[in-house]
Amino acid sequence: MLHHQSQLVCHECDALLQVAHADPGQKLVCPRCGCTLYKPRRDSINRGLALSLTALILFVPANFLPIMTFNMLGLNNADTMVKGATQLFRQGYWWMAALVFFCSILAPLLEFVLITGICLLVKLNRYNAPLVFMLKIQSHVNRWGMLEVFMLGILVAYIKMIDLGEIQLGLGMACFTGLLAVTTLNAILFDTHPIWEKVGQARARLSDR
Amino acid sequence: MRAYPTARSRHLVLCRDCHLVVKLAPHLQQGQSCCPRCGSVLHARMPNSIVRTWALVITAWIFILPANLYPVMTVIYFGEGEPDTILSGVVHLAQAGMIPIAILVFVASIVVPVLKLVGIMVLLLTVQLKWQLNKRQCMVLYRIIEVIGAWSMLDLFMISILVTLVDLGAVATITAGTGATAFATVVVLTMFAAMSFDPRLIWDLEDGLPEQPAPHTLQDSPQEPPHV
Repeated sequence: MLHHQSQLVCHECDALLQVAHADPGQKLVCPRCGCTLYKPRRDSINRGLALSLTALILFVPANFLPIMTFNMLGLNNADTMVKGATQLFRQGYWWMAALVFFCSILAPLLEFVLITGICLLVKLNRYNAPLVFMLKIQSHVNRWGMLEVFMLGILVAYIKMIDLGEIQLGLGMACFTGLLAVTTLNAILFDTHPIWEKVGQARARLSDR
Repeated sequence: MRAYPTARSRHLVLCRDCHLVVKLAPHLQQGQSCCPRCGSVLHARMPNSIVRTWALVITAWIFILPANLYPVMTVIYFGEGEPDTILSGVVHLAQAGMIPIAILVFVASIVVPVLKLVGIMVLLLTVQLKWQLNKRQCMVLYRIIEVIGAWSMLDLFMISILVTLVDLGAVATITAGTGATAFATVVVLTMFAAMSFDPRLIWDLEDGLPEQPAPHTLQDSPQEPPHV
């Protein structure tokens, strides 16, 4: 009963619909409220693994190398992503520091680690409790990763400072741009739907035995 | 508009985590059974969605005042500080001739949070007062609210970058301000408010209309109750 669902329920309007097939490149749309029900992706696991590993590699330089350096009257100072959060913390704004740290560093990192773990477990055919746990956390954490907003923050800060002193973009900025590109691709291409189906099938096989 | 049978009217529940459609045993109330596939607690509608969302929205309105009245950032040049609120920061940007950036910051820090809160209140009142609004348009509003939420963080990220960048001892430093803490709270509260609102409540207003068999939908078929 678990592994062939014949009904589909819209998560935004609760309409009960007949299951329909969609190929990669197509999407299922709810006829009642117009929301996207499902958008299948081709080869999601391999791509997800490649992209999240790339992201993990880029993550270290993007966070620790200077994004930009500011020069003024011979004094200069570099900004890295990690320093942004720690500097706020040192000034006593721990709540803001925690939020900036979570949304720009921890949530993206957690998501890449989880997607790597999910893809590895799927590749090893382990549809077990840790996989379910990781899938659930991943679906909650992904709305808190805000690298694209952070990128805009960098640009606004850059433009604001350009008149006051000499400002140079660093290698960290290049890594961060790459990280943002990989994150965006991952958000578009990663598809948890087939993984959940496999989890359901594995559960059904267990209970049949 | 055509009437659609809802999952709830057929004692079916969609798992919020893994999107499995589960048939609820008739003797079980919502919140008492778990999804057989992922183990999450099943609810036909998010519990206390309206009350929770109102609580978060009202709290966010309260925090919007200090967020806009207190300085979010102070630029100290050779010992002389100049505190900036969100609005005065926008004005300074505009005076410096950076109109597009000023508009961007204004939209992200003032327009987005206010619009978000007003939008959620419209949705809440629609559900509670049974306003006859176009439901598809309500959903467009709901999706906009969900998407734009994160962009209010722009000002906070910018402050965190400036604070690190301009830390030149006696020459120039930038420090964050109390307003930024309040603003961070507003952003978090509005994000939670958007998450706690259950859009299915809007469509529940249609319930009570006669149900017509629709070609897209399945007839009810007898199913076993889920393993719990």
